Amino acid sequence: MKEQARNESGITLIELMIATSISVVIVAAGFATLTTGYKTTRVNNLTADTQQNARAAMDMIASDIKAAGFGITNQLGIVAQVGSCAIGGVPAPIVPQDNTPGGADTGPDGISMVVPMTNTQAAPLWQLSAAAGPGIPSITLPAGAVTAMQAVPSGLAPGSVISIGGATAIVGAIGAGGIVNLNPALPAPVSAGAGTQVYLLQCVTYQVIGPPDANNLCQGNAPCLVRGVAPGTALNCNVAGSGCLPILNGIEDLQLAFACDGCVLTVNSGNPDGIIDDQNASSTFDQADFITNSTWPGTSAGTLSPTSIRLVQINLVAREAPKTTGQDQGFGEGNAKAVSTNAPVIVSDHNHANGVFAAGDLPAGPAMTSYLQLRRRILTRTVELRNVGT
Amino acid sequence: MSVRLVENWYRTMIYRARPTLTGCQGFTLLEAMVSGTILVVGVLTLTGMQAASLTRNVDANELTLATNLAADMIDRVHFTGDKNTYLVTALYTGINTSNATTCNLITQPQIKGDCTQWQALLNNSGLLGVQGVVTVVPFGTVQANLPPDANQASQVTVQVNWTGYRNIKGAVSRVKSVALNTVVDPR
Repeated sequence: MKEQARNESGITLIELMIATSISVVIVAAGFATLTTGYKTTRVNNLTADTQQNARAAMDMIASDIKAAGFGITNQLGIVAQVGSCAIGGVPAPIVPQDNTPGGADTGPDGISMVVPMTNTQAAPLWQLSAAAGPGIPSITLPAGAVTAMQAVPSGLAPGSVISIGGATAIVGAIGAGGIVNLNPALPAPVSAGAGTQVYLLQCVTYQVIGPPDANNLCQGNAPCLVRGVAPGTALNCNVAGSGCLPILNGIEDLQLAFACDGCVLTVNSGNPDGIIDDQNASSTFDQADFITNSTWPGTSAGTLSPTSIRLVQINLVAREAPKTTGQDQGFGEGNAKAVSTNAPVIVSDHNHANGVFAAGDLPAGPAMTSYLQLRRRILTRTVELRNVGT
Repeated sequence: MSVRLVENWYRTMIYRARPTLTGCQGFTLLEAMVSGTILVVGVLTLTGMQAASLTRNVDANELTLATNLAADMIDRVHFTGDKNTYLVTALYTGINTSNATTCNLITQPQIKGDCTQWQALLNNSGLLGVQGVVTVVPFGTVQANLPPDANQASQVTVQVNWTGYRNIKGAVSRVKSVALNTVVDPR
């Protein structure tokens, strides 16, 4: 018996306990690392998404605002109305939509503008298949291009405005074989060679849709930024079946301020002089010359014409996606707190403590706490309008 | 009977606990420590990667802010330059937001406004030690038959410098820079 016992080479209880304890410590440390890793990755992803959304939204809005108008007041004196881009029946290249024109805003602004749409990527290209002019009564496009132009939202139809390599024209009857008649015809000496790019001008609206998103434009991800041709004349995307598409999630606020040249009759007799008009009688060009609250055109005749807008200051607020248990990998990382906003942000003339965020999205209590726990990115950029003028 | 059993168990335990030289091989303490150290180094590296990833996010945000600030000035220059290249060549050059007197020296109201507003924008951007500099270099032939307002093209460089934010202990803050170029030409 004794010899047998002496030859056994198992492990003692104490060894087992020590080994187990060490294993538990190592595994616990591993899990702690894993959980921390998940939390960090999640925070990283959310932050990166937020920044990406803000950057992309700024780039899209800025590039569209730069192109706004696209020469609707052309060299022939034609001032064409594109879609519903008009104020009081007068065609406008850009239609500011301030949330509260009479005072401080309580929600995001919107903007509508005339921007070109074209196809340079996939056949059939939107290009002239044959040279036209001098004097252009009609143009010929490749087979399928006209159908494609008709198929887009607010597509090609009699009365649509197109730009043939920069020459604006109004579409008349659309014939067979890719022939598009112009009404009126562009007179000589206007001519265009084969391959000239053709642009369909559209009245596009940018709007921030906040919660509650009654028309489900954000597809459950409100707030979001939508872009599209708004139905009717109200230039409002936030209606059922509007056709405006959500382009970026998490865009919470859009504030726009406009600086104009030749919009104040007392400055240089209302003529553009290359200097932004002084709105606050300060004799200098300062921040107050960017108009955040006004109707366009102004209440006095001849003032604040939308065609006099030269600089637009864009302020964007993007926030990260709210924390929901659905994004949890099972390690509790969805519950990680991310307090980064000490108080509701103030952007331009919109204080988030008031208005839509206070009333709908963020009532006092738990939801307000949630508002403060979401990371935000605020971007500001001034862009020059290249195409609104005559 | 029971005393015998306990004695047997005790002896067994003693024998088991004794070091044996008969082919039973465990890990030595040294081996365990070495493997533990390797594990810790690996895990710490993973943690370091997370920190590096967060830092890249901070960098990306700073870069976006700086690029927007530079683009802001580029468009302001274009507003003046599209009509009046001469003013751009003469007055935008030398704007330096870290020098308080730069803006005050400009008398042309539009450019002075651009300068002061841009300075305020930079100072409120949250970037550490941010500085914006505009340089304008004229090029091309001066044409005597044209007025000075529409005479010459200029290359405009808007540069934004700042110090990168570093929250990690021991990390070195680096001075970073974004420069955008554009050309204003007589129209």
